[in-house]
Amino acid sequence: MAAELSFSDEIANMMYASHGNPIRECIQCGTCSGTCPAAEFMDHTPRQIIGMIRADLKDEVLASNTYWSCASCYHCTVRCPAGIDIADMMYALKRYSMWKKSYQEGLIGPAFSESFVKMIAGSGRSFEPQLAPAYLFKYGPRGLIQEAQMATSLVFKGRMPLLPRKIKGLENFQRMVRRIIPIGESS
Amino acid sequence: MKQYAYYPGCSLESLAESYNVSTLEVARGLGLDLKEIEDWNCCGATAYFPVDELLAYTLVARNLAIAEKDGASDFVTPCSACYKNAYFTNAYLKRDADLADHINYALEADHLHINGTLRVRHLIEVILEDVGLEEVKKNVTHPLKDLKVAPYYGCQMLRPRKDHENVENPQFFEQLLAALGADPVPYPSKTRCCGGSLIITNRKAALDMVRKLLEDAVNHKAEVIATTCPMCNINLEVYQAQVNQEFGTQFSIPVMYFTQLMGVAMGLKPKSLGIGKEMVPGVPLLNFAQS
Ligand code: SF4
Ligand code: SF4
Repeated sequence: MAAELSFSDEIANMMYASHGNPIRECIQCGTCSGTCPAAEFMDHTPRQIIGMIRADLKDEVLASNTYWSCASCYHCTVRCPAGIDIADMMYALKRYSMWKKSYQEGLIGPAFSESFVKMIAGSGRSFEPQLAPAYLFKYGPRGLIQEAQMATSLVFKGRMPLLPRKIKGLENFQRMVRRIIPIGESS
Repeated sequence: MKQYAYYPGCSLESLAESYNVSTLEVARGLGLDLKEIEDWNCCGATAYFPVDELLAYTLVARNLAIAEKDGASDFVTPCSACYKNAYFTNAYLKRDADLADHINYALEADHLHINGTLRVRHLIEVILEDVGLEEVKKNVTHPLKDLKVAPYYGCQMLRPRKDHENVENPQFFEQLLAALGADPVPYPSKTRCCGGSLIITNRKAALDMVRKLLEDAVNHKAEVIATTCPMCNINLEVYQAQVNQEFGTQFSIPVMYFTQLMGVAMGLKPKSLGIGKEMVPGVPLLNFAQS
């Protein structure tokens, strides 16, 4: 029987098309962390997260907000001297944590991504107001008022459409989506 | 004349509609023939990849496949996030037959097939390379003389591509602005991230990133920030008031699409360029507009 996969291998397996080098090549230089514009909002810097994956600290990685704080700006990726695609690895970690249904409490990212995908599967197009429930609760009353004020002025300026759009060939589109992932009867 | 398969993307139908109308007006003025891709779907921006990678590529591939079927050779989009998705989906499936097979199996359900024959390009690239700076200059009737503009490149137009002229310090946006008669201001943050979708998923982090960008542009005496992406524009413009509330700052710098600057310089009517819908009015630019 094959030996159990290491955590590093599991993460590598979550990347289908990305062509970066494996994280064992990381020299822990910290260029990624120094580059990252979101590092100060992360529980662990990108360099630390890589170290933790290599040390098989699965629970600690799953409990970290690091990859959910990644803006996918790819600045780390283009600078890494070891050729690691750190930004795509962050996506892989998001997928891993969604797949394991294990993420830090209170994060908006997982709910947002999930409702986004449901929305697209349902209509083929995205529509901002439909996403609101996924994240609005998080910002509390003050945030809600701010958000509502902003939305009102956007509507007033003619920038916020009031009706969602749909693509015409929705049925075939949904058949296509179902060939990749099972979607329920989307509303 | 060459025809381009045009992919506006979802933002250009709503919050960034001004980007769409100014793109179409400027393209018409420059003689670029943009044909909107029939029944395109959302490319997912950054929100599919956390759920399923293959689905993310497939959704992008559908738009490319429709353009291929229509006989297009070039796919062009003004949205940097859409551009990055389309560029890499196209590149990956060309060098990975296995990935192409998977995607084509799904596309078949929609009677489509992708070969990866398109050239995927950002609108600014088409203007610079196919139209050219000389031709742009010839179309300038209302030069934006001495207008101090901060060119904001953002991320996805430049990265993760590594084969660009200069990933760390590109110059092409400055050159375009100079061709319009404007005075591009140098500032170190021009390729730093605006926070992207963190504005939704981690508001605190994103507002901080926006604040740093605004601060840098303002400190370098910019009067207007020019963008090449609806997401960047929305973060820097629509959320400017929230930055002010959060940090007690008093930013009030207009953020305009580069196509709006081009249009004004080409003597097009501000209204036809979607100008007037900003949260921070584009006054410094309007001074140059034809009356
Ligand atoms: S920049 Fe690359 S090599 Fe350096 S710590 Fe980050 S991932 Fe490792
Ligand atoms: S891609 Fe993510 S991890 Fe890398 S620098 Fe940008 S925000 Fe940081």
